[in-house]
Amino acid sequence: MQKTKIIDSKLASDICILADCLELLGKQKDARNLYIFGARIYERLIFDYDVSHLCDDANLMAIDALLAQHIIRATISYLSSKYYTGELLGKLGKLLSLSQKISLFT
Amino acid sequence: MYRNEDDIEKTVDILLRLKRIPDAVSLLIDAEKLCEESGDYKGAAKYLDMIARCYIFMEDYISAAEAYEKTYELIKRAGEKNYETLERICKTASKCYLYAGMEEKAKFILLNSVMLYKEEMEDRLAKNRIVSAAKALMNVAKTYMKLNEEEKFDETWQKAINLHIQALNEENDLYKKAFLSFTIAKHYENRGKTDESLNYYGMGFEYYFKAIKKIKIEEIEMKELKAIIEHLDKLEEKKKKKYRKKIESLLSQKWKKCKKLKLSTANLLPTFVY
Repeated sequence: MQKTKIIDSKLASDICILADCLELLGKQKDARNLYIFGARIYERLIFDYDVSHLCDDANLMAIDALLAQHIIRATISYLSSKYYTGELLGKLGKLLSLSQKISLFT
Repeated sequence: MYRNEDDIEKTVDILLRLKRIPDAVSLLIDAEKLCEESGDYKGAAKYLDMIARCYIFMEDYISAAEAYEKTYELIKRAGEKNYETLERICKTASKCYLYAGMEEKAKFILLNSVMLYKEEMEDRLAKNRIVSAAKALMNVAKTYMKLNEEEKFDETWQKAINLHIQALNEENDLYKKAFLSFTIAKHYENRGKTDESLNYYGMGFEYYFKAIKKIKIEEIEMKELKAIIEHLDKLEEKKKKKYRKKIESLLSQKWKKCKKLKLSTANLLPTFVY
């Protein structure tokens, strides 16, 4: 399980950078799809954590740096895709509410 | 060393997360004093560095700058020669004085930076680390620019570029040669020297593509490819087309490799992908 997570995390990172590369080369449509793909992998990594306790302020400190990184990267990738469908905006809303729980000092 | 170092750091971390910055500062001040009294200057410097950062969060720039100045002294007293840390402390202290509207103080601290970078350059040269020496000398030039010392800036900049070129000529590794060429190109570009810049960017691409001929696609990091693509626009049209094709082929190979790894993520794939 841990190994899969590490592979997925590297894969998501590579895919998002590949998307950046395509965007730089002017291939926006291909870039968008890869951003969404990368974001979906990050999103799954996030929800593999037990995030229910994050709604409880008393457990605010439980959020760790890796989870924070995944939340930020998923959000950035969805935003980079510039594909603002209702479904995607809903996902962004969820991610943003989680990101509000990330302490400034994480 | 402070006895409960681990506990202190954990408590400070929690206080900071709860945004109780003044409480964190008072705990850190106690820890710093204890370290200093016991002669542990390295430990004291570590806590004072953290205190300075807290002052920045509190937007108390004068206290932050003063704390950084003291941190600098403590590190020197501890006999540490960590140039990177010392340079960061100098730069941040100077910025803090600038934010506080104390320009003269900010400039004075920058003079310390110049001394440090020069010392670092000499140290690196003595160890035959020419690239690091060139980098340190370029930092001297940049600091002169901040101090509005134009003549000194010009003279030092030229020396730094020459040192970079010397390093490039002496380097045998094609890969390192490529990135060194890009660095030189960027320095010329920043000074508006277009011809020289164009020449070194071209050289960088040439070295890079020669270097990667010898390695497998899996060994090329995506971040590195992105950095290369960011330089593509700096080339003349003919070369740009040539290298764009090569890059597209590399990206396509990379994507094929990614697809092989996606077993556990197949259901996340969008309906149409690159």
